[in-house]
Amino acid sequence: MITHGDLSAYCEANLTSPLALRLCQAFGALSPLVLKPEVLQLANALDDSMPQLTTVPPGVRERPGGCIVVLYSSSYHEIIKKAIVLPMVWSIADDHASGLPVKLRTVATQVIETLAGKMPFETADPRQWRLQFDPGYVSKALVLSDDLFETFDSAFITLSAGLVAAIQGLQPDYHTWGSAGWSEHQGLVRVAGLCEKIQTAIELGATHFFLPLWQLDEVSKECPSLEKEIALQGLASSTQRDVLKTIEPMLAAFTKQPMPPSSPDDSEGLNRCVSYYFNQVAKSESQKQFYKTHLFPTIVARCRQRIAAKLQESRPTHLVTIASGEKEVTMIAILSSGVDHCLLLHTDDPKQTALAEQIKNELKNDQESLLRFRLKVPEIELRGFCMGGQLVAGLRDATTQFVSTVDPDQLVYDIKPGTKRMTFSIAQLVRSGNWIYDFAQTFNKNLPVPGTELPEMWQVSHDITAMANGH
Amino acid sequence: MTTYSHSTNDPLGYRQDLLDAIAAIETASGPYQGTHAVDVLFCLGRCLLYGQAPEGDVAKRVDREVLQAALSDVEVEVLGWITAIEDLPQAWDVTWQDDEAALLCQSLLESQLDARAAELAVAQLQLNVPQSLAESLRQFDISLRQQREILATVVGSTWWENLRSTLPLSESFWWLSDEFSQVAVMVVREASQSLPTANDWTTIRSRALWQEAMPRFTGALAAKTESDAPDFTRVRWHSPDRKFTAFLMLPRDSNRSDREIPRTLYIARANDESLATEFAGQAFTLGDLTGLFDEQGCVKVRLDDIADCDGQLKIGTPSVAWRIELDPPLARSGESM
Repeated sequence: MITHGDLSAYCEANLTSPLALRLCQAFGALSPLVLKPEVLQLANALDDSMPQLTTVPPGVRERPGGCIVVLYSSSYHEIIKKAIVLPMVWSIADDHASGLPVKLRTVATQVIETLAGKMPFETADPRQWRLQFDPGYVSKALVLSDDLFETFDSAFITLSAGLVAAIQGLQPDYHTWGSAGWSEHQGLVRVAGLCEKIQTAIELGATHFFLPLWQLDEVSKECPSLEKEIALQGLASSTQRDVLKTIEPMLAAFTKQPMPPSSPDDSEGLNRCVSYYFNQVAKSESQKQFYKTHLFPTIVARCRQRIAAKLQESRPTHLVTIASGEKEVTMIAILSSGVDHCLLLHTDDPKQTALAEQIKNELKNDQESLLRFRLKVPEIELRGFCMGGQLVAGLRDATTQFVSTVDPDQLVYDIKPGTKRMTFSIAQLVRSGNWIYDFAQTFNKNLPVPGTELPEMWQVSHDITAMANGH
Repeated sequence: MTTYSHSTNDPLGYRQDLLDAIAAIETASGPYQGTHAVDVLFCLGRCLLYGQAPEGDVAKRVDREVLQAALSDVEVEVLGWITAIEDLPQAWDVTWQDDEAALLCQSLLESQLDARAAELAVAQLQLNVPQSLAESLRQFDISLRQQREILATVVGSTWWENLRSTLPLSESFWWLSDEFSQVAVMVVREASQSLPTANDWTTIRSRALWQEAMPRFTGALAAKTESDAPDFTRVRWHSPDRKFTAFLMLPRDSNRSDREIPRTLYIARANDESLATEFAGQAFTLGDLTGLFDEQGCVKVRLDDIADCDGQLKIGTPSVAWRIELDPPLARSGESM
């Protein structure tokens, strides 16, 4: 075990290069993150065959399940840094690493207990996870005692973000660091040694540093130059003292974009992308763009698979649908129904007209990428209709020409988009043999949950048509 | 149950043991009396062995027939001891800790104390000794004597010395005699003749430690993964006066390119771990490698040049061998770090 007392023995003696090398051996690959550069230089001057131990790396190597904890050291700053970096890893295990300082293990347990039951969509239980040293930096033999560090509370938010990312299976992005404690009653708790921690983060390549919002001023006063080198971002306790809600901005930057799912059946890949999607700031441009590139093609392919299974031998060729404010829902209907021709109706309202054109253009632009998922963009015809009193008549006028040459069993009516009145009106156009398309999905935080889409298609019997027509 | 009370007239507590055993037999019934009757015999025997008169007349308090019947249980016990002494050589060979080996011998010799105690009790109570028990006791003694070379390893131990000085009947035990201690001297002499010389031991020890320090070779093409922290061993050689120590840090795993990296072998003063510049210009040999220390007391060596040597570092002219040691993981000269 490396204790406070061990370091005092080194500090009391004149630090010679053999002693410096000895310190490097004791801390192993953790040395560049713990020992002061002067100590590393002394050791390196004597024996430069172990650069992993004696030279400062440009950054910390990323590892799945990993997170970087930065703690304030207690003393002996002649040889150890004021801000000590401990690369950690969350993994499913029976216990925390035995070499961890006892109080850090306590904080890790608090993180697990705080997050238990709060993870959205995840079946994985935080209680299965335990904190380990990153084995790339710390050998199993290393044991660090509590008295090397001032406090451990500030590890809370980083460990929380790390555990969330680990459960979500997302690769951490070590450009994002943070330091703040957490109390069930107070929310975020003040952090000590921020300037030293931020300085260390900069040295190791961090670009974002999250800290309690009310300590931003403190950093501005005490170390103003640091603000130019790193994006300091304040966290504010959520009103419900919800740690997940509080660290939301940090989570958005805490992980790397995952790869898109490799196929419609790649559930793990989809789950990772969905987690990343919800980690982003809701309805932000970055979230929308991620949905488009990483989720939309897979979602449509899955919907198409589901519809194709329902259609069996049948193959409708024409779809009538209405441009909806949720344009993705309309696009999913157009693509997943597998038709060759689509009549995209819109009201005379200029916004609706523009939306319909946008849907058409986007699908046209995405044609090539969608082909990779065997999704064909149909020929899309736009047509306006009047929202006046005679809605059914207006819709019938708008669709007459499109449906006139189509056999009844080749025609699909999408009853999902638009208002309830539109749904009711378009249902009145349906004739025996036509297909009806409907769509449902789960919502979270007012956002549809990707992967929960359930498109339905069924062929209308004579009796239902008669009911719809009021006979 | 009465507990031990080591009073002045019962310093070893054997009289109290006897009273406990008698009390137990008085409260037990049927077959359980037999078990306690064996205890009564051994406890009474130990009192007699150590010259302590038992309190009261045991023969009056315990049914004679019960004690007589218990002799068959004593015989079972003795047969167990015979098996144990026959297994001693094998058990002694596989035991590599000295104190464990001593305990093996000690427990068997203590069994003979119990055997002698049982004989004394039987005589005191004037019980009839079955022929088979007498034969077993004789066989046990013969078996013990056959292993006297091994048993002789207890000679000189605190236990053996204490027994020799405190047991009133010590002269009746051959393994407490002066003659037996001569066996021990003879055993040591014979063993040492077949052992390597001190010089051989130095080489064997050095080679063994050096091999332990050598990195595991991960192959020419094996890329070092970053999944595990790099780990290093520090080899130390102490000067004969232990005022200086030579150090060399070696990786625990290496690939071919690692073996060509020059590593620093340096000498530090033991008192403050500063570089021992007084060795500048002095010659050294490490296996086949020879050279001179630079002005800092350092020299560069490559794994390829030293991997196959015996790890013996010799310094100076004429050369003097320094004693090799490995640092325990994360320990600094025996400190906790």
